[in-house]
Amino acid sequence: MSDRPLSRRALLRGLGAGAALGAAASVSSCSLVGSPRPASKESSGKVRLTIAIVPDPSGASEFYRRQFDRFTQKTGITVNVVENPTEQQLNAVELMFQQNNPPDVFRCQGPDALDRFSSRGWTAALDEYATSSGIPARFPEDALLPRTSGLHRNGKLMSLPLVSGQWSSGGFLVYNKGLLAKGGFTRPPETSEEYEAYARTITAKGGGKFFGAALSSARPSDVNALQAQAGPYSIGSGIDLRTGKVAFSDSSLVDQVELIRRMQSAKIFQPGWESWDGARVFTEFAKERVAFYIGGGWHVNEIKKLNPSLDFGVATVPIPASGRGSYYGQGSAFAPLWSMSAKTKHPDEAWKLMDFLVSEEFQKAYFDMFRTFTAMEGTWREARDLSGPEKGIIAAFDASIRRAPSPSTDGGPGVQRLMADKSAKPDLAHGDSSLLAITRNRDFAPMAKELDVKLDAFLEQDIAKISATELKVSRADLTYSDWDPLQNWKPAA
Amino acid sequence: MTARHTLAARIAKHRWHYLFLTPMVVLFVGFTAWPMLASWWYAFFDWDGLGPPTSWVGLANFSEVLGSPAFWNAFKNSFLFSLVAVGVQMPLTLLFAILLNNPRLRGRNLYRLFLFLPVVTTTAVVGIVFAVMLDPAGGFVNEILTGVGLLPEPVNFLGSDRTALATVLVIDLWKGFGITLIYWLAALQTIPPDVYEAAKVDGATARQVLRHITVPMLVPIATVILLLTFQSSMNPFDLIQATTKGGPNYATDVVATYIYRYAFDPQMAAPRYGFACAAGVVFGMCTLLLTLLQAPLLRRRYLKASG
Amino acid sequence: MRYRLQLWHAFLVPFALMWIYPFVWVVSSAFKSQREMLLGGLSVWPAEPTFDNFVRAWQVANFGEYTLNTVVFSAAVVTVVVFVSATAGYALGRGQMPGKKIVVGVLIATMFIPHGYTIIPVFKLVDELGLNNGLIGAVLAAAGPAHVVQILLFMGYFSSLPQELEDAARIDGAGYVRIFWQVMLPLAKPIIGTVTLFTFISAWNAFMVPLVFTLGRPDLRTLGVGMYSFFGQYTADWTGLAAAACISLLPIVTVFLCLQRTFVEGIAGAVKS
Repeated sequence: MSDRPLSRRALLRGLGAGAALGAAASVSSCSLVGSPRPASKESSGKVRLTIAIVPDPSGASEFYRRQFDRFTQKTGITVNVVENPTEQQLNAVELMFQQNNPPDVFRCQGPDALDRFSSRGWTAALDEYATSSGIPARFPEDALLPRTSGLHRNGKLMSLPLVSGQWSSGGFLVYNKGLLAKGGFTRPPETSEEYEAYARTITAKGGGKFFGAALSSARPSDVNALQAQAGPYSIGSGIDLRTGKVAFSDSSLVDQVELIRRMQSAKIFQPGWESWDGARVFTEFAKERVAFYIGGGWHVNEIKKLNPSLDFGVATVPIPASGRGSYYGQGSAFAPLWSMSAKTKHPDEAWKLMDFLVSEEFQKAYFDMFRTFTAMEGTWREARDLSGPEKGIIAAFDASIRRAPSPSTDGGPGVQRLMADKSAKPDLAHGDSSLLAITRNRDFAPMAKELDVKLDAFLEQDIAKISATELKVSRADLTYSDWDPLQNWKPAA
Repeated sequence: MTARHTLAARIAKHRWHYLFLTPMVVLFVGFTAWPMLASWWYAFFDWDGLGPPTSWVGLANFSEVLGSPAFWNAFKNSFLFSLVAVGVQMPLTLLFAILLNNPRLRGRNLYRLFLFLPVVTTTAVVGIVFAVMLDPAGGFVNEILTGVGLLPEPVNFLGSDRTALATVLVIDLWKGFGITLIYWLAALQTIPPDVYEAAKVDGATARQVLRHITVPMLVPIATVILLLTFQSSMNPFDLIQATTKGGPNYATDVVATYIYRYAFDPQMAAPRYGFACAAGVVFGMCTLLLTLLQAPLLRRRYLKASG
Repeated sequence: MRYRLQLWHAFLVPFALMWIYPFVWVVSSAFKSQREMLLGGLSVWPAEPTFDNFVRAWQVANFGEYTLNTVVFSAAVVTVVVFVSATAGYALGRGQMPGKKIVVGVLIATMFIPHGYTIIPVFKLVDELGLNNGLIGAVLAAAGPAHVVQILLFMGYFSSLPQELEDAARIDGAGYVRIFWQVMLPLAKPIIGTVTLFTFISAWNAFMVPLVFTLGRPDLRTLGVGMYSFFGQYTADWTGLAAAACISLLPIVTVFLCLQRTFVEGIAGAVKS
């Protein structure tokens, strides 16, 4: 009994010693001391660019490497890929800039990040390059207007898109045909009343094995999705842009919270969503445990990967029984993604890489690989291999998304600052209160009223604070009296 | 004059000791003292952590922290973690250590390894495993508990703000159990076997041995284990990020996740690093204060332990 | 008595199995396909065992390179921490010099202050020193903050060693450094073992420090950072992550098995005399 463990231990000890030796030997080969920035010109005179990306969605690592190899073949420019964990990408790129070792091209994850990076002068203005390379011709005519593109800051083009504007603005209802049929339904719910009634029936049938509906996470995305079909989308973040007034108490929001709260207290939703991560809801759907839920673009491909034989469809998000009151608001033509460093030593070469990232070739390859609707519509809208659910996404987006004003896209630095200050205070959003109302079965209306008072006081105070600096902002910057939420919005010339 | 002279002489006499202290002091100044002082300074600014801080806001960050119920909620939870580590984990691991210290128990090395494995398992993976195991709809823990009739209906362990904190505390206990166990096993080695032999000859029962020999002899070393356990219990950050991210309804929020949310969370459009620093400073001051209250006790115990 | 002791197995065996169930689950997921893991439930045995996840972790996530970096990083952190806390613990444990009490007091006080958010000033300091983008910067940032418990362990141990030991060595003509290096330090082996294991585990799993200090040099990243390349914003490669976790676990379990005995005797030594 005692011999065997001993000899095993001796063996392991030997292994440990070997590992230690290996470590000692490798110290000399590994660069322990910080080296100056990696040489950007190789000995042959070829340029080497650095790009900071995230390995997202899964499989993206290999995909980017293959694409950049093609880019190198074509241009002779080599690409050094820096991958950061998604959650850390912005922190990482910021620190790289602080260190004077910024990437030449980087994924700037969305509008807030572009605000921060451009206000520090880190992003290069792309207007001249874009014009001379014919970028505008690759997009619809009015897509790259400075006031609505979402890619401009202070009138300058600061970023280029990866995905289509609709893709990043709206969601849809994903439904399982078989489970709907088990409840006796032949089509997905179209109104919020049906949403509740269908879900109730199916959950009762499921007896704990499957459920009528699921919420996607503790974040209020389901409430906001339903709200946007009932009233102006901006009410989801507390402001009615038609009047510039605070509006958490608006019935378009309160009603949706009450709906979800009612369903939660009746135990209609699949339990546990309060601690789900973003991937959980579509995993549960793929397991055929949920009849329908409100999802986002990337879910469809993930569901198909997980359960290729699942018969499911995509429809518009339910609207109020009284009829549609509004649409998902698309506040900009695109969400910004690819930006070029203002400090790059090789702007011409870096531009070539940018150009490649919005080329038809790259965007088509990206769609083919991940089935994400890319910024260039031609790459996917008429694609021959679109699946049923994918056609459903196109139809749902066209039917439920409209262009809408967005102060941070359209306004100047003053109002951008105001919106940034607002989103830096999580207690000025309804997420915490509505979650409390839903999980603890409490009345939301009084909380909404309280939130309105708080937000109003904050706006007053912050407008005064910002106006004391050289920036200008007023309530008028939050008011678009000409906006009809049932129409596509265009800024008045 | 003479006082200064003798002081200088004493310093000169101990020059080697000072020299040996130097590496630690240099690193301490650079990596502990300076960052701490710097964050004190930043706490007075409305600053996002980039470039030089410019927007001086005086004590505004501090008053916001002190007036934030969310902060005190996180504060309370942080202490709960330490309390459970010290009050539950320490005694429980001691019992296991006594059992696993018995040389006649077969396979005790294997048991030790098994109990230690969670310590080194990657926290991110732990979060996923427990999310699946504790699922209220079909997770196997609920299946078993409802199956044998212990529960009338499945419990939403991680999703309900009534049970999430307790659940995360248990997972934390599971994860940290092995390391405290090893400390106690070490402590038990300090008791010479002949003491037990003598007790046995005297006809003492197992319970008497435990009460009159084992526990009293472990008291001095227990202080060291207390320090080690307390220190590691102060940082449940990784585990909470991996399981609940502080939710639902901030039921599992601790100071570390609270600070992280303001300083680094990518969900925040503009980080408030200055505010995060203020929260860190307030938390530090409070813990320090609570520690000072216990200092006389700790010092006595520790000196006894090391002397 | 003996019979009753073995009765404990009736409790210990199921308990230990339950205890490591999540761990076993991780190992088995590493051999499952992504689909089977998410849809196949909790079955421990993979229906169609596959090595794909390990291949992916090894190649795509650069785990070969990362493992080497982690070994170098952890070994360096352990060396610095052991050196610094042993010297400091020796000075504080053996000397009665002026200011000693202040040093110990300040050290204990800092133990209770959270450190996580101080990474920005630390980053600035390392940047000023020009040590960014090398493992040295990461090692300094990880080993630099005072390891109070480790210092106190050494201090307690050294102060318990009899004065005669030092005196005898001095009579033999040994200087201060030689007494420390050849007489005292070898006696502190148990403490060194304890501190090594403790520090090694945390260095091995470290995430924030190695990430921040190797930003410009992804080739120098460690396993703790590499692990996170399996997390996407909306999707996650759980089986790849499980495989990565297994790869990163193997060396540390080895170290545990090697050091277990020293370690267990470790703290014991601190109060033995």
